[in-house]
Formats: sequence, C-alpha cells, structure tokens
Amino acid sequence: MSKIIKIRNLKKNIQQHSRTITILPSCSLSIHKGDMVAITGQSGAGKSTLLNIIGCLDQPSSGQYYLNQHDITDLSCTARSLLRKETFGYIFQQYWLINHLTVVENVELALLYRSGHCRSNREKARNALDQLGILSHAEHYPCQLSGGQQQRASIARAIITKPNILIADEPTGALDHDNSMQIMQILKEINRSHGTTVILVTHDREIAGMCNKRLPMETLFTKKEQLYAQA
Amino acid sequence: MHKLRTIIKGILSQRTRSMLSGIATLCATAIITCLIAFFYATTQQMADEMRTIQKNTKIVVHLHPSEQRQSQITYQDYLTSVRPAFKDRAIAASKKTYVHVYLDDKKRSGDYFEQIACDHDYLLAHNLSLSSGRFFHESEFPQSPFVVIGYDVAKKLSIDEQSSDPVSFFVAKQSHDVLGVINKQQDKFFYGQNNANRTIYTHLKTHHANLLALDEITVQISNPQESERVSDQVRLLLREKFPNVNYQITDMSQTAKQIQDYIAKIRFVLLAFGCISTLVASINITNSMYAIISERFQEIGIRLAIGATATQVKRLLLTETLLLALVSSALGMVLGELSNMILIKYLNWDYTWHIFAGPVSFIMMTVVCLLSCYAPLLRVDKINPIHAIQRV
Ligand SMILES: Nc1ncnc2c1ncn2[C@@H]1O[C@H](COP(=O)(O)OP(=O)(O)OP(=O)(O)O)[C@@H](O)[C@H]1O
Ligand SMILES: [Mg+2]
Repeated sequence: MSKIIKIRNLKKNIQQHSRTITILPSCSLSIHKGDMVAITGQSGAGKSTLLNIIGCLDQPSSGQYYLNQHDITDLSCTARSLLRKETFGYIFQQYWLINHLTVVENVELALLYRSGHCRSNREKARNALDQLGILSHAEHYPCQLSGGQQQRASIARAIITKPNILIADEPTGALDHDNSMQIMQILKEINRSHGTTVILVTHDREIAGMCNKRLPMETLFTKKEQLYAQA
Repeated sequence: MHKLRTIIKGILSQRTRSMLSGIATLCATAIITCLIAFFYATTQQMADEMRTIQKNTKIVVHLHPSEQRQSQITYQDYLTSVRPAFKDRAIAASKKTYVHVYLDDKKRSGDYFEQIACDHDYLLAHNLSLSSGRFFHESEFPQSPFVVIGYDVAKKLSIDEQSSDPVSFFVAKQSHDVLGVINKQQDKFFYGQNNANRTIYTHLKTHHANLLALDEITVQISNPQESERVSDQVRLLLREKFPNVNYQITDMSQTAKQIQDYIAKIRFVLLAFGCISTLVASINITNSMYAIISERFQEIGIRLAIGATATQVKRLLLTETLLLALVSSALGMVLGELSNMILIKYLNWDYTWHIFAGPVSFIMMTVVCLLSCYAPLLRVDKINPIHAIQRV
C-alpha cells in the first residue's frame, strides 16, 4: 500500500514575545492510504498542532511533508486551499460551526465549496444529519445545540464531501459512550467503503483500539527529541 | 433566493455595524445627489447669466452732482451731444433720485421695464398689492409722497400712455392725474415732476426735457470685449464737451464677472464638499470592510478550513458589502432626489430639478464601494486558517 502521508522531522515553532517556543518537537511518521490511525498522547503534546499541519491548515517551521509523494511543505496559500478543498475533511476539537448559519446550512457549505451550487446539496446535507441522528435540529443554530450535537454537526460537515483524508481531532470528545461508538462505526464505515484515510486524535483507549493503527505521540518524535523529552 | 438569504444572514450577523455603515452610505449618496443637482444647476445658471451678459453688457456713467449748474449735464445736453455720439447705444439718461423706483423684478421680460406711478392711497383704496417696487417715505420727498406700481396694475386701470387726454382717477376723494406710463424699451427710467398736490409721475417723453441735471447715463454695449473701448470713448467725449463734470464709470460686465467669480468660488466649495463626502463614504466602507474581516476572522478561517478558496471568501464578503452599499445608496438616491424636490418646491430654491443627479451618485457610490473594498480584501489572501480560527 502506498504511503499517502510521509512526514520527516516536522517541527513547529511559534514566536511569543520575541521568544521562540517549540510547540511541536521534531517528529516523523508515515500513514498509508486507507489507514485508520489513532494518534494518542497527553494533553499539550502537540497532537492538534500536528493534525493542523497534516491538514494543510498550518505550515511547519521545518521538516518535510509529502502528500502522495509530492513535497507540499512550501506550498502557496492558494495551492494549499485547493488541497484542502480536494483532499481533506476536518472535524475540529472545538467544532467551529458558523454561528449565524443553521446546522443544515453549515453542513451544506462544505458541499458548496467542494462542488459548487447544486440543488441536491440540501438533500445530501439532511441525509448526513440523519445519519448522525440530529436531523431534528437541522434548522437550529449552533448556539441552540448541546456540545455533543454540535460535534455531530461538525462530523456531518466533514464527511459529507467524502474526502480522501479525514482529520478528526477528538471527534468523540463531547459524546457519551453509545454515541461515541456510533460515531466510530460511521467513521469505520467511511474508511471501509470509500477507502478514506482517517487520522484521529483521541484519549480514549477503547476508541483507539477500534483503529487499525495507533501512534502514540512519544513514538513519533525523532530519537534525539525523545531523549530530550525524557531528560 | 436561498443564496440571497445566506448573504443577508451574513450582513445581519453584525447588525449594528451593517446598519451604521448603511446609514453612512445612504447619507453620503443623498448629499452627493443634492450636490450634483445643485452643481449642475449653478453651471447652467452661470451659462445663462453669461449669455445675458454677452447680450446686454452696459456701462453706466455716474455723474457726480455739483453745486454749480454749469458743471452738470442736462437732458438737453444729453440729447444733443451724448446720445448722437453713441447712436442708439446710449439708451438712457436718468436722474438718480427718481431712478430708484423702477419696477422690474419678475414682471421683467428682457430688459423691458414697465411701470406707472400712482398714489399710495389709491393702491390701498383699490386693494391692490404692491408686489414689487416700494413706497417712498414722506421724509424722502416731503412735497409729494408717492408710490410706484407695476404695469399690470396700470393695465387694470386701463391707463394708456398713448391717450392724449390726461387720465385722472380718484383716490380718497381727491382727483389725481396720471401723467404717463412707461412701457417702451428705450424708456427705462422715468422722472418725477413735482405736482403741487401729493403725487404723481410724469412720463419721460413729456418731461425729460425739464431735467436740469442728469445723474446717470447708460450705454449699451453689443460685445463685452468692447466695454474698455466704449469707456474710453465716454471719457473722451465728456472731457471734450463737459470738462467740468465729475464722473465715474462702472462697467457692468466687470460687475457681472465679479459675481461669476463669486459663484465659481461657491461652486468650488460645493465640489470640495462633494469630494469630502465621497472620501468619507469611501473611508467608511474601507473601514467597515476591515471591521468585517477582523470581526468575522474566525468565520473566514472556518470557511477556508472546510474548503473555501480565498477567492470564494472574497467574493462572499464583496457580495455582502456590495448588496449593503447598493441597497443603502439606492435609498440615499431616493432621499436625495426627494430633498432636492422639496428644496426646489418649498424653499423656492431657484434651480431646476434634474433627475439624473440621483443615478449618477448611485453609480458613483457603487464604484467607490468596489474600489474601497479592494485593499481590505487583499488581506484575505494572507490569512492562515488555523490562526484565524484560533484568533491569534
Ligand atoms: N497559538 C499558540 N500559541 C501559544 N501556544 C500554543 C499555540 N498553539 C498551541 N500552543 C501550545 O502548543 C502545545 C501543543 O498544543 P496542542 O493544541 O497541539 O496540544 P494537544 O496535544 O492537542 O492537547 P489536547 O489534547 O489538550 O488537545 C500546547 O502546550 C499549547 O499550549
Ligand atoms: Mg488538541
């Protein structure tokens, strides 16, 4: 199976008050096409940062990032936005729904940007919401939903475009056990039927256990960094 | 339809800002509409004025009164020496003290003054209103207080200049004679002859011969460029024939030019005001565009993250701003046109209503809006979605 994502010594620094802080130590990893990967690690380890870079939402400070064997480390803004549009689907840790649009409009928006204006968009969006069990809230605004419902809306928005790579930052963080299992079933189903590569971050061992590959954050750091982290 | 609804939702997501920015655009459009209308109208008026000046330029020779009779020009002198020198262009000679009373104003057609004089009491007795002209106070003419009335009143009274018999009428049980009516173009001024008993005016034709001293001589000039030459001619003539006369020459075309300069200055101020309004509106739109972008930074980040390209986001923001600008400047256009109409109609502003002012300012504001959005929208290109979402 081909490596869809290959990362070498990827590092993220940020500038804070003229000080450089490393929020993601140099790390390397490879993910194969069709994998369902769980990234685990303690809070503040840099999981979200790593996912943002993988998802082309952010740029690394150093290192290489190959997507489908193409080096996309230094891509222009426009090219990155095209990549995002064509390749990725995101489920954010904080859901990030647009507040002045209804749930169904939020979901539809992803389709609108992906494939343009189409009559069937609304129908597809409603189907996705139905699949996640929040169709009854389709016309509500995000602020009228519970955290779990918002999370499911953001999942609907991410899967509706059938992306090649689905990036999920704690997709079940706000859900109860039953709902979490249901969401995982949906993600597994997408992974199986469309061959979507799913990369998810979780703290939950059971959830991680449902994935076919687990990558604890510590194992990703390159050797020197590991030593440094332990010391 | 559905798209429009989402756009309106976007606009309403920042209700206060949208409303303020809309109102600002509305006011600017209304102001600019008024200014354009006013500007255009004054331009036209100036052109008209200019044409009149070209047609009707004259110079006025003010003759300073003097104690010695010999140093003054009599009407007879005027007829024999001055008038022939200018052929028909010396159009009038007058005695100032009476000249003040001519009634031109709105009854004027060209430079054609028509007037008669009659008693004040008469006016009152016949319930006639004096729309133009004025009453002379007794202190001004202690011997004979009088009033001047317009030609239309004279017509009502069927007073005919041509009639050979002196017309008389009764006022306050007193009989008055009308000595004349002036309605010939050449007879611009008329001169009083003091009747012993209060009143009345005499016609120039019959009495100008009695004028011992003239105050003014008016010379018509066919071409404003000539005024200099004609003035010189007048000076020469006066020096030659009436060396003792003090005089001063007023070139009316010069005065008209001064007025024009003055109007031009006002127009400049108007123009500056218009430019400032446009500038303020444009700054307002630019500013509100920046405000949208920073207020909706997170939303923009989300849109970029779920697959929007920068162009799509820009298009969305532009559509929202443009829609707001179009609606509010359309309202502003209507408001501007209405206030124009009201100003003209009810405040009696002296200019015509031009409907095109509204559409012109509407188009102007739309263009200004598009231009003002340009710089802020460039920022969208540089947005890093994750920074936008996390608002860093
Ligand atoms: N914009 C930022 N400015 C400053 N520090 C940041 C910024 N973003 C992330 N960090 C820091 O980087 C580190 C990694 O953050 P990240 O969000 O990737 O952690 P995480 O592994 O996702 O944690 P969690 O499991 O709690 O979500 C944290 O210590 C965080 O404080
Ligand atoms: Mg995180």
